[in-house]
Amino acid sequence: MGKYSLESFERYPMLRCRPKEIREDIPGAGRRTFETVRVHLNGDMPTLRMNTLLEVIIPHGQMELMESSLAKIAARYGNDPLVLGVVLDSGACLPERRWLWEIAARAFAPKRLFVPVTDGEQLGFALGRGFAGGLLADVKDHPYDVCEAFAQHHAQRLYRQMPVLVRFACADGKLARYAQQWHASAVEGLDAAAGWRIALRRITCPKAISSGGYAPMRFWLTNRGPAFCHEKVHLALRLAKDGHYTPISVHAAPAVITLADSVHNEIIRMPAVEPGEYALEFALITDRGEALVLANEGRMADGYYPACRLSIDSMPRPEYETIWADFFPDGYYPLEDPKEPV
Amino acid sequence: MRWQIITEPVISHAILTNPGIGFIAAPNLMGDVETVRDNRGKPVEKYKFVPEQKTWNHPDSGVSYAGASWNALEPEEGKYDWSVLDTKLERAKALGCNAVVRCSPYSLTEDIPAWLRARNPDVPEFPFWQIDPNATEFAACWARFVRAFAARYDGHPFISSVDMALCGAWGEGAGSEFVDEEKLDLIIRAYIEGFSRTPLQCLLHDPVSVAAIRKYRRNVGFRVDCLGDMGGFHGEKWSHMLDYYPMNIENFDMHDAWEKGPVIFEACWHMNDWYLSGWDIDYIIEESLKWHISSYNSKQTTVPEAWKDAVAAWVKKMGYRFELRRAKAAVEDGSLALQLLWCNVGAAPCYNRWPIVLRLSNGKHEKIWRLEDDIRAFLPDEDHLTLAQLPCDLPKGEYTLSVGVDTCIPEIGKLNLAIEGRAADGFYPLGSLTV
Repeated sequence: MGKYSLESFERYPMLRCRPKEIREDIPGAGRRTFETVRVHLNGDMPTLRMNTLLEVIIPHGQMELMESSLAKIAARYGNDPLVLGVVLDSGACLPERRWLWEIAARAFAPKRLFVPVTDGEQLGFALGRGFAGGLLADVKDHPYDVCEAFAQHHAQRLYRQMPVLVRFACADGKLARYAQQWHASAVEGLDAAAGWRIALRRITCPKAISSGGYAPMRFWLTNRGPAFCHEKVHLALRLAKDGHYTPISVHAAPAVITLADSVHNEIIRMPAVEPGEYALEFALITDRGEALVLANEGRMADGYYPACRLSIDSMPRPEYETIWADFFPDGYYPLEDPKEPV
Repeated sequence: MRWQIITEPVISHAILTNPGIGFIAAPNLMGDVETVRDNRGKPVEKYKFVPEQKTWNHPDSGVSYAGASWNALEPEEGKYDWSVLDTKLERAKALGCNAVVRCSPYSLTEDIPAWLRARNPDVPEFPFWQIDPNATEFAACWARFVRAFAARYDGHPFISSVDMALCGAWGEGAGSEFVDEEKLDLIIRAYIEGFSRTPLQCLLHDPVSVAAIRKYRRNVGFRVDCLGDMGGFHGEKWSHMLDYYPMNIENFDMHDAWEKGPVIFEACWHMNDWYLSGWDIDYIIEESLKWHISSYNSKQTTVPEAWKDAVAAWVKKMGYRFELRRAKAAVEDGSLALQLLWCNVGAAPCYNRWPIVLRLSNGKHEKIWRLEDDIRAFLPDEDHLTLAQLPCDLPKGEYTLSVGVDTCIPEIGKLNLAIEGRAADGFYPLGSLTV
């Protein structure tokens, strides 16, 4: 084993755990489809059957009842997990439109107020006031009309900050490319790739870990998109053995998952457990306590996934606490001119 | 505005060859090649990606590679012989390409210049070093060379971008993590201060050298030299594609470098080796596009025919690809009003500020405008509007309005847009206007 070999490079024998990624479509991996439910002020408020964009129809007049009417709709749907958000119809025609947008955003918060990308005034106002919760790309006649709106209103990069819902009036398969281009979080009216597909691809850590000691761990996640996951999520880990679970405290701050690779490196303080072999399991948990559906195999009933088996013992390894001060675990590269692999 | 032209050009889904992007040129596979052999010397069935292309078993190219060794370029201390590099740039020009350029301090077989070796006879133990960058004058001498290189070539029209070679064989950065920071700094500053116009890309080698580069200027792209390695060195234990690249593009804070500088990949081994190893080409391609690849150096060897379709789709996404989706124009009161809707449907921006040009012509009179829009800002998946109101003093008559993106390099000409209807001069006619 040479001085520059992989084995010599590693300061600790390294376990590389590669949870299997699912490449096919998975139900529930992100919010791919939705339907629009139109609700009139003081009209019927139907039961929802799937992910929904509530389109609130605003009549002319009756401004004095506007706030209470919106509040009634918000009370009915505000806690419904199927509601992705709200969009207002006909608000653009009203002289009181800015006031209307603002009270609607307040009434439905924390549900997102989606703004049609074609409505530059509403978009500019909502962004300026901080209540734009999402974009609605409504393809009625021609997708280029929406393309122009993205360009005209400088909305091309807003998908990085908020979800984009895309509606198609016509189920033409050739239109699917626009859902991808606009990084649709969900699509109505067309079978198209939308939403996020997140998978944990690799965990590295020492092959042997001290109970109650420090474990330098590195994580790699991917999101095949086309959308960001805008719900902030945090990485949850646990040790499992004989039906018992011990959580592992991870200090990764909740974060939006972008379309780039996501990497988290942390020297984790392990719980004090009996020495032995444990299953390491992981999940991505939202602020609402829900476990995301990931593109990983083996989802358990509570939303955790299997990673690998860890060997935990009682040998102290205090050096692990600061081992990264002068060791970069991802720094290995082969120092040989590559010969043919086969 | 009453538009006289409203047109939606037919979108082209053809493979396009454009400068600075795609597969690096393979001149040995071009033209009348009687027998095409793979990288192992075995004859293979000849094929082309499209019938009219010049290259066999490999896509046509708009970018080539021009590399040269320090010992050839500075044969005497302070005296430079640029002929090797100039010849390669001329070759690129003859191919209708621009070139990614790298000057290497040495390789495993090419030594440092003789005058430097005479003063520094020791070869260090580190495998990919011919000279110790910490214990010798290497950094100062190499930095001085880089400044001379930059003084001559910064802004050269045929140079697409320059590799920042800091140390190690082929300038690929081996051992950069062991080089003293002030030595690295000398070399980095030579590149950063010398090349103000030509885009740069750095090797993703270690966090310290990359951070040192980014400290000066964040618009540097990156290059890596082992695309495709799915376990050829260490099996499932470690590979570039499943370990080094995904972790370190993030660890080195380079995940958004592509917005401002090129991302270039070179093959580990050859594509045929990947094929024979049973590696997943779809995965390799998908990852490279996620990382916003502009160009790929396949080392001038064949693409396995079984992978032709996958590679064709890859080439169509590699780098920039401009669709002109809608054009509106009118001439009124002595000015040409224009609205062009563009989208870059490629994986990367264009890193050269080549102008959008418009032409009104009718065989007797002609006027050409260069627009101020910066196509470098047309990031992938983004719709952009070009709006212009241009003075038009042409005589009355019917004119054809045409559009193009001009490299301003006669041997390369105008870009191929992802629309149909390109004329021989590289313009795309949009319709007729009455002045």
